[in-house]
Amino acid sequence: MRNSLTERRAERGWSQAELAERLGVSRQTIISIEKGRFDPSLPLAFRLAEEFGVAIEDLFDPER
Amino acid sequence: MFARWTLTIAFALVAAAAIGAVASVFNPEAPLVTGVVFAAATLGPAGALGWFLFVSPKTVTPDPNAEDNVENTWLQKAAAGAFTDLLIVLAIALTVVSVTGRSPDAEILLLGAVVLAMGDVAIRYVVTARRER
Repeated sequence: MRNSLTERRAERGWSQAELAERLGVSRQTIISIEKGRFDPSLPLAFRLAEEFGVAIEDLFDPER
Repeated sequence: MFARWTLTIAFALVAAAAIGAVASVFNPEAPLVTGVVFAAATLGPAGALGWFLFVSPKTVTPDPNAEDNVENTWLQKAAAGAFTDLLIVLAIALTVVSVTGRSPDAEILLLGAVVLAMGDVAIRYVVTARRER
């Protein structure tokens, strides 16, 4: 699944470790999501969207 | 906390002694040696179990987001794959034993199964982590 996590994180000047800490997950989890190798759970996707102040569909694109 | 550690140590000693006693009953040729060896070998794991039961609930905070981590997914994949591998190996072993009528000691078979399962999960986890990193 494509996502705009890297761009949005860069806009805010957050490091991967910082975002991971904010969400209470490992840095590797953020790396894997950004690379599109790991689809987050629904609760984590909601927390991510909330952290960036956007809707889930603005953050993730199901690549139809 | 002192009471909890005391409970842990008491639990470990009692559990190890109980295992030693049971083992000695099943080996009447050398009950004392058997009991002591089994009790000594069980003391560590029994202590760990005691710590888990009595100390860890007060000292370890569960991670509420543990399941959200990618590492958890890797472990689940590794465990699922290892289970399939173990099932196949056990089925083949059972076939061989059935056909030949010869079977190694149950202890060897069970130890092999445990080592295989643990090693398989470890290897699969590392491979999955490298692939999906």
